Amino acid sequence: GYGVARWIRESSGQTFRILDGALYTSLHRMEERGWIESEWGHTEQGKRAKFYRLTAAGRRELRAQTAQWERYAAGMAGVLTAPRPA
Amino acid sequence: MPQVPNWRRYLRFWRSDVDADIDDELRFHFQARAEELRARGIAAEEIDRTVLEEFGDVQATRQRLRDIGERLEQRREREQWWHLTWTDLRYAIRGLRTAPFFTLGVVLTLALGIGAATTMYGMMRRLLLQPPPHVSAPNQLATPYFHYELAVDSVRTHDRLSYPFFERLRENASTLTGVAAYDPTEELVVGSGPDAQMARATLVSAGFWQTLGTPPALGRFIADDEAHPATGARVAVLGHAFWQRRFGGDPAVLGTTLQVKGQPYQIIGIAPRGFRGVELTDTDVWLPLFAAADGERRPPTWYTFASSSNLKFIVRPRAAAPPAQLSAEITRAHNAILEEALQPLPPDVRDRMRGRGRSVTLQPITGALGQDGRRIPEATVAVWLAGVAFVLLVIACANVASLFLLRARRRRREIAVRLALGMSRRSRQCCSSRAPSRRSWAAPAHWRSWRSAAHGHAEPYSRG
Repeated sequence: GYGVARWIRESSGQTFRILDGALYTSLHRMEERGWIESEWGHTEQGKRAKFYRLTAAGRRELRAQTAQWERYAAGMAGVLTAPRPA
Repeated sequence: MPQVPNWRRYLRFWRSDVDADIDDELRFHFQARAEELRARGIAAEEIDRTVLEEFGDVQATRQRLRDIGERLEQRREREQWWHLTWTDLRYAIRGLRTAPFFTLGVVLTLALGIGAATTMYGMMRRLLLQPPPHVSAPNQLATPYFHYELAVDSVRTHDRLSYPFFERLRENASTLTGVAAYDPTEELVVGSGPDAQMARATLVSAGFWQTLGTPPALGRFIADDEAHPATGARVAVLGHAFWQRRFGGDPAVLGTTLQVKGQPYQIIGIAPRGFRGVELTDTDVWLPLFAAADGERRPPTWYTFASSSNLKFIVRPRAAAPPAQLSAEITRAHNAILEEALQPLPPDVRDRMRGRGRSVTLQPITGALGQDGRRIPEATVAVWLAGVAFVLLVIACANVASLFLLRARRRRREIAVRLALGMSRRSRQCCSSRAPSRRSWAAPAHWRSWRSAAHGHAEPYSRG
């Protein structure tokens, strides 16, 4: 779980700052919906931590959401770069 | 962050502890983040503040996580329960299939017991509990019973009287909203030629259907003027079962003619399904009282004799009628009829026949109450038979239980080993991995399959 938070912070280049509490809530909600599954394991230091993994349903949902976002982004870009009406 | 007491970790043996899991997860997060910030060289107070700031509302988050966790846990428990039950069921069915005689014995015993008990209960219900079908407000209806005290301690009770009594009641009794008379005992020839058959018929008077409050299933019922013994019409109402049997439930039978006692009767309606008046037996054809003398050579005044006793009666008292007035009216009518009946006799015979007294009581029609309010003998027999059937069912259950016990005893060793394996893991899946062999003493085969299954299942636990 902590790894997910750090990864989001780093890969979005510090633009996305979500509250960690909200992140954990989303993780648990996704688990309830069956998009991810969790497992208790041990880190390299030997501490007990929760590891999350995508399920097949989660992968499908991810593809659907990604496609939706890309459509949205393309539409937005089209609007912004369109020439002004004469 | 509050520390979860260590002893709670032992609760995990039965069920994941949602609170402790949340605590562990969040604690790991806080520690890891603090480590990261410390590695960057930030001061201790700064670390605490930053971590909490980045997290947001800890309490609210924990509450939400707890709710989600509880729901998840409940769902997991339910699924596990279902899985356990399903595998146990499959195992049980497989076990039964390898012991067919046992299964057959159990099934037969239970079938006999349940069948007998159900039949008896059905009979008892029809006799005692169920009110007559398609009669509106049957608990308001009553049957008059006539008691004659002829000598000391000798009371005769009859439930039948004559047509003049019916007419007198109808005209005079103001406490009654409905009076009906009927004769249920006729067996008539219906149809002609090769179609002829004996059928049960009930002859009804005017007001029969209105008193009972029954709607016809098809067509209409016998009208009041059609039911008069002398001036009636040749109309008939078919009972539902008879209609199905003889005419196949064909609605076109309305208006056609049916031969009754050799005379043509027009079918004008069908009674509703299951309707049997207030009697216990079915009626095939409902005919007007007119049909009693039809085709026979009776004197035209056959129905006017006050002393005949061919008709039974149903009365529906008014809801607000005081019982004293009701019984007074009926008794008055009864006395008048008796006087009329005794008229033609010489005076000394009259005095003797009058006896010491007479009375009329009204009894409800539901249930198996007979004269004097006691149960009719058939009902008593039915109750005893029902008791016997119940005892039979209990014996059948005891037999089945002992059969199961025998079977369990033979498999004692097998069950003990299964239980021992089951205690160290949470499911009894070892049984479903291999089908049991055909022989009932399949111990060697089971041992082999269990050992391999136990080894296979031990793997995941070495990680955690």
